[in-house]
Amino acid sequence: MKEFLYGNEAIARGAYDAGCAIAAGYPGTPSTEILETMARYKDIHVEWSTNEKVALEVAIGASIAGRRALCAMKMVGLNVASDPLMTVSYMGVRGGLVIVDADDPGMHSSQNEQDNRWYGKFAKVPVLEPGDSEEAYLFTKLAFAISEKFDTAVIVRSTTRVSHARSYVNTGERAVPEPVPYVKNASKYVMLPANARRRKPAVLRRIEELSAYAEDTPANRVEWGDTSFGFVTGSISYQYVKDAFPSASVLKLGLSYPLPVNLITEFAGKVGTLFVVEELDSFWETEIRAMGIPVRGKDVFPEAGELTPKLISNGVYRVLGDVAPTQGVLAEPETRFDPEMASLPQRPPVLCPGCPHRGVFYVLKKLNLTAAGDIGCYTLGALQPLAALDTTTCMGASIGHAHGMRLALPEDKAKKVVAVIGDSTFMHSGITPLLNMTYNGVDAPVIILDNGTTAMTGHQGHPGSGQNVRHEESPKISIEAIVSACGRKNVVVVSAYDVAGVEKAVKAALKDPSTVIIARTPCALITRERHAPPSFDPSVCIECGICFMAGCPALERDGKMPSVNATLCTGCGVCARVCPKAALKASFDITGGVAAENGGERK
Amino acid sequence: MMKNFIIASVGGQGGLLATTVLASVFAASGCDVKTSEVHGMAQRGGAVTSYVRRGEKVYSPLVHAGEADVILGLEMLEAYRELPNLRAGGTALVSDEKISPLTSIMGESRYPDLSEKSYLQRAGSAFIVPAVSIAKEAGNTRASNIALAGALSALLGEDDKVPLSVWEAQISRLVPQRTVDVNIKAFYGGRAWMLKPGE
Repeated sequence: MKEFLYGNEAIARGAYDAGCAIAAGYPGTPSTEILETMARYKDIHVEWSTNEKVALEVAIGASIAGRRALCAMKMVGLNVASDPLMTVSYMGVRGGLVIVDADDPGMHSSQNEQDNRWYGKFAKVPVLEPGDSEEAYLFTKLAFAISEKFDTAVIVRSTTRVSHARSYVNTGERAVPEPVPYVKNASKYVMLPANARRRKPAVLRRIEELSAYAEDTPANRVEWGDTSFGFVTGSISYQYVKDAFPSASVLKLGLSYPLPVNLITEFAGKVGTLFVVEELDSFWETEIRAMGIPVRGKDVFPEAGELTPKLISNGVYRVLGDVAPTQGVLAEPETRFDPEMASLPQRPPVLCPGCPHRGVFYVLKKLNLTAAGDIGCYTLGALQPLAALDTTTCMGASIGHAHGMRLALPEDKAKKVVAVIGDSTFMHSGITPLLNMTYNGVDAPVIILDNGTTAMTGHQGHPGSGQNVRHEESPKISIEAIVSACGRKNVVVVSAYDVAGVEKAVKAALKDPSTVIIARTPCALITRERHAPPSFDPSVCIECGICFMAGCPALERDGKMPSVNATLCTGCGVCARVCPKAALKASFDITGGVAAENGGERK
Repeated sequence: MMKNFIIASVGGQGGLLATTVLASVFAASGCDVKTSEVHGMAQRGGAVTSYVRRGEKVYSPLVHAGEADVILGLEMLEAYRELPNLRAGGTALVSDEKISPLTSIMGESRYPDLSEKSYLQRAGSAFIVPAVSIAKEAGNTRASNIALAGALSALLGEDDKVPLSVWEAQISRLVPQRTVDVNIKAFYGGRAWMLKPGE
């Protein structure tokens, strides 16, 4: 059946049709919709695991037990899962095991743009790279077959422009292979040093066998055209090459690792200048140079960010001049600077109107605190005017960073350090650093922004949300109980909309830095709860501009006074609660500081 | 035939839904179609750009500089920002909605004065569609994205008429079920405006 699918949907469909029985992952752009799509198939087990490491371990367990299993994550998630990855390479599989990794060149929604093809080479497992939705479907199915044939985990690497692009897919029917009967095999699945040493030659032999397979896999193909120059490319870069040079000869690599030495050598021998076109690192280029083949690559194509047809034709132009028969895209040596466009106001992302994080960040800024931040919507608290965060590194890093900063700063500065982390991120990897603080006798206030969901990626459940991947009710784990179990005795719960209550709690926590504050108000995009917008009395307004410091897009500027955009405003009242003269008045009262389980913003 | 479309919006306005409707309509009429969009952080009130390409065979899902036949703008500044990507003689179809970026609210930047004339400096033709009032008339201001799609339906050339039944079917399938009537009304409101722009 011909279907019009996102790359992520096609990966999920490919896995389903391949008979995948267990799928696990943790949400992260641009990978999230893979598991969300799989969750629509009710006859398989799908789960959001607490983090990517756990997800891969679940999938490995299912594979050892004989079923086909998949885990999906964004590229930085594979860092978290790299521990089991490196060793499952030695163990191999029983049921097919596919790890879907979605990279984010250009960092549309990520903290770095690491090129995860290296993980294939690092762990000595094959990497398949689809270039559109059709290939995403086919390669995921192929990945399960390769996994079982070569006794290896297989990485399917996507990127933003494959995952979040839509095109046609010829889908088939689900075919479920018989589960492989479970037989205890400790020498293969218990990686004691003695067993691992015996497995290493199998790992090396497997890469040789896969290299031979790469020579005639359907994932790699040559498209012959004009041979005065040629391209080795793959993934989304292939599409850009075809747009820029429709009649050129192309070797398209679908199996990114290991590479087909003979196929590449033969192709290189038949074309003039050979260009290697790949986004991010010179992964193929380095390998192909090591084969003794001269190529042009990162000397003329950028190593940072996404490629475009124009960047490719510009690179070719720099080598060949205008002899290159480009079509469709004009090769210009440089893009002209456009001063008018450059002067337009930028529009970076912002916390939504009604976002419960806003008031907390306002307080942190007001008290001039040093805040170690974390990964989620609330990373936007680092932007002006809130500008309340000092660090953001990776999932769960806030608590460890605050710990280190408290130790390293002189006392007057150390006492101003706090950690800020979201509820889903806390469950993902915030618990161990909190435990570490107690164990090592270091105190820094930890503020858990509990909006009851994994918001940034589109509202996925987590162990504290009470919802599973299918948005069905699941056991709701109490954050307070976890925090207490980590040895933090003083746990304070406040409503995030109660700005005065948050301020009071933070000030108290600075005096007793072993305190954990839970600022609990559900994400405004989930509740869709709306109160009337705040009223505004211009005769009381002193034009101090403090309301604007809350940085709400629904509070517009009318000269020096605020003007509420009633369409955008959710009536959360945070702007009114920071107004020193009560010129802005919230439409509902919130006092006492302790929020009820549902957020407690209605009194 | 118009092949390359850029949808420019502010996160939360429904730019991705407009993208899906457009792509599904083209897909239903049988040509090769690709779309590309960005999710996650970019959607949180930031500038959101998505792409729809169609043709006999489409490779890149992105519309690149100077290639767009139409810029469908749900917000005036974001539509203007995309103009360098318009091909010579291309069309800017822009909702008259203005959303101030935070820097303008903070007084650090000024929202530019934009009129049909400003778009015409870089576009072959430009239409400022009162999409929000059309949507409001239909029953919900949030349907301005579909009102703009209605305007686009009237812009497609004589050689490229997508049957109205296809538009209706795809809109009905894709919008939240309780808003189907409002959106269909908004679609026809936008279409009627475009057939007699300025009235």
